[in-house]
Amino acid sequence: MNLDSTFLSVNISVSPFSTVDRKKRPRNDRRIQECAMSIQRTFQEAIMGHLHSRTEIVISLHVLAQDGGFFAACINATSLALIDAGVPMYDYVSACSTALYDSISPLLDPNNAEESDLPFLTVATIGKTEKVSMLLLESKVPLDRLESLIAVTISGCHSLRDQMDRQVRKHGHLRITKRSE
Amino acid sequence: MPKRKDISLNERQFILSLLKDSQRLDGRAIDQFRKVDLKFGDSLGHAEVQLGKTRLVVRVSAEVSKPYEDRPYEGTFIITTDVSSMASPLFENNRSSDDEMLMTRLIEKAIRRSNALDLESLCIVAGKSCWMIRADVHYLSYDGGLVDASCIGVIAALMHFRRPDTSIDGDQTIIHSVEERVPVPLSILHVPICVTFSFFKVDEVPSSTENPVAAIPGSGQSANGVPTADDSAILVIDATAQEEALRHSELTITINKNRDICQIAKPGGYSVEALTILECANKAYKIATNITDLIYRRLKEDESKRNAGNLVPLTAENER
Amino acid sequence: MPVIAISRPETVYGGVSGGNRKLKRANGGDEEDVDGVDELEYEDADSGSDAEMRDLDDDDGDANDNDKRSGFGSSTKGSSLVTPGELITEDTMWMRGHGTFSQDEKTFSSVAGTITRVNKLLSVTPLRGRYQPVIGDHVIGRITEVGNKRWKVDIGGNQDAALLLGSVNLPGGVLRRKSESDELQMRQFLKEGDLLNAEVQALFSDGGASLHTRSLRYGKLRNGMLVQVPSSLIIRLRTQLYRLPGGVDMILGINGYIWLSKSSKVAADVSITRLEETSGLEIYSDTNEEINTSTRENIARYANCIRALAFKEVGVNETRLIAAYEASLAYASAGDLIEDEVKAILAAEALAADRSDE
Repeated sequence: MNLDSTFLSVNISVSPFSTVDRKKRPRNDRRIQECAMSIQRTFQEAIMGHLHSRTEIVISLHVLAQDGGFFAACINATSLALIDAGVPMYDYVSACSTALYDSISPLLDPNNAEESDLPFLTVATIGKTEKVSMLLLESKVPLDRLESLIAVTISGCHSLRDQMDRQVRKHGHLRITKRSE
Repeated sequence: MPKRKDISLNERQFILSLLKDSQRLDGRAIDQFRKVDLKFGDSLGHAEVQLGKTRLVVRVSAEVSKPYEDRPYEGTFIITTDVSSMASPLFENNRSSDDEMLMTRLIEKAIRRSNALDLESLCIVAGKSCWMIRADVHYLSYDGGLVDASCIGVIAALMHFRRPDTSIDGDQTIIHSVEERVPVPLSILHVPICVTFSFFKVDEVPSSTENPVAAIPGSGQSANGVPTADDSAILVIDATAQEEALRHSELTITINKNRDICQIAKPGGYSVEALTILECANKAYKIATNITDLIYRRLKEDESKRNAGNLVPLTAENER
Repeated sequence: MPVIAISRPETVYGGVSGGNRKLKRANGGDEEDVDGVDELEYEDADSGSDAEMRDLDDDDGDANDNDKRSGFGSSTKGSSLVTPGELITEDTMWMRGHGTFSQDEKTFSSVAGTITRVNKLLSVTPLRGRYQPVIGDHVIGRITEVGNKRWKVDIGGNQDAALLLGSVNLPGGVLRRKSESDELQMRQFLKEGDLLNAEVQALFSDGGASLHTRSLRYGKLRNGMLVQVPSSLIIRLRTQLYRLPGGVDMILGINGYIWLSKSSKVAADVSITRLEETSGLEIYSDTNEEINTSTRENIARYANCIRALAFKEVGVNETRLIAAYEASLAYASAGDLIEDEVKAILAAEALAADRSDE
């Protein structure tokens, strides 16, 4: 463990009723564990950990309903929660997924039905850059479609970053007006 | 990918500054894959891979079992990875660290999820019996690139393996012994190859010529807040154990000869330009073609050795 | 070329045209990078929905965004909102304080909050977050651990604060020397779970705080109850001690912990000279005094009023709390105040008190 930096620990719990077919998920689902680890490593780079040395930040994610974009939603939620908690970060971390329809067309933010039939990839970027912090692709995609897929996903991430920023501002303004002087 | 190996500051600085000058401790170019040494054992489905100092053995076995209830027409396929302290004292026995979990997931996604093995061909009687194929990976020595090496090992062992032939007589399933009928090879749909790329932050790497103190942290950082070095992240292919311990992020691409990407995983860490990832994918494709050819070559050599006494090569393969 | 449009209830982004998007390497290093991203060849098919999203935005969002960026240096207005990754200024004259970071000589925000400027020091105060101790803060805390010559106190910060045995008043007056037997019977003065009010005496380099209770104002708390609100709802004032109508005393801890208790007979500000006579053993007493029913009801009423303000994220101060309390008298029992609608009404009354003040 690095003593000069904040230690992030991520717990994800998926409720059994989050999918259409209710089923009990094993606690140590590899996919969920992998997701938690990726979130931890993504945010370890995004937060200014050196400011809170010898500290642990525990991120608990509870998934209530799943309709595609599981991983991306987890990352975006974490991003907003960290901002609300006042943890210093370099920028928003925004994530988004894109499916590939008919081996040709990128399909932004697929839902559950689309995800189950199409290959899709999830990308997380820090701020409005072209830099990929996290990338996950679990099904077959032709090499030549990769570029357009990543490009669409990144633009989706940027759009989400703006949307999140707008919400943070909205709430921020609300809070400022109600503050005691 | 073991838990962090502690590397002395001198060693660290030496390796990093070498990398900055595109040099590596073992004399390779930074985008050079280590030489893959692939050997097959006496029994079918036994493959030994040596990648630099990384060594592993894969054993494939088959037994008849019941298919999963939700997939009656498919056989089952399990990959087990046994990372023990035999490979390196960094690994603990019977306890898988996060990194080992990621590694197992990666191998699983690369081979099992990408449908490299045709599971439907393993069905004997729908819903009743099917073949269960096991691939057991044993690591003998560790020097980085476990995922890449295991992927080569597993797929080569699967291609080398022959399962006993079966036939159905009424409601009886007959499994023919090796003496009775020539065993059949597994139906491999494609050959996925994993290539792992490691990235190093440039601004943390002191140049070998400069005084390390003079290297200003913050230079080479990008505009919008994120401290990333644009085009300057050092990309290293097939890192050794030391490099793996020092890298700032990794990217594993699984690709086959048909230009299909089976899987990409970059689990967080230091950010990398999207275009770099595309470059990586293209590099991975070239490496994958070479390795695939190597596997086919080795398989052929092995076969000709086995058939040395026969005038007509024995085969159970149908000409399709 | 097929165009697929997805519109999902949670997130609204519209059609994305297929296939031909290309990534372009942002020309690295120079200051055009921020805009370089926008210049990428995303021939946005979703520009329509982009505009749509902008409509959802309330006017103060993006609007002041622009004039802040351009005219920051000359602006004198106090509270402008920034979010993580936002460029605050390109001017190099500012010193960077908390909540900021720099890149290529430019200053960016690292938290969502308001810009504060003290002389040349530029910092961003987060809107929410854990309490960050500042020397001199009057805080309320709870003992979590009794350690070697010190107590650990939860003050709602990133880490527990330390209260050294040497920084408390022990029975017998200020001049009393701490002996070894005191070290052994620390638990008799303060034990795990005890509440106390204290002042932040010093800060450690890692952000931890050291407390002291060497004044009669500070010390162990009894005869009341604790209410916890986010520390961002409380601002630093000259005094944090209030005597509220209805025979209730309030200590407004800067860390968001609020202590409501029965009014004490002794005036809150005892002069330092009387310290010695009054610090008997009873300052570490654990037993509550007799509290009559109406005082109990009042304490509960104040507690619920504070919760109502916190519920609506209204900052807590004396005027607002008294206004909310008076409004709450319309309800017969303090228990009636826990309904969400009632909370909203009380919070609105409290805010109205500000306006009538001005």
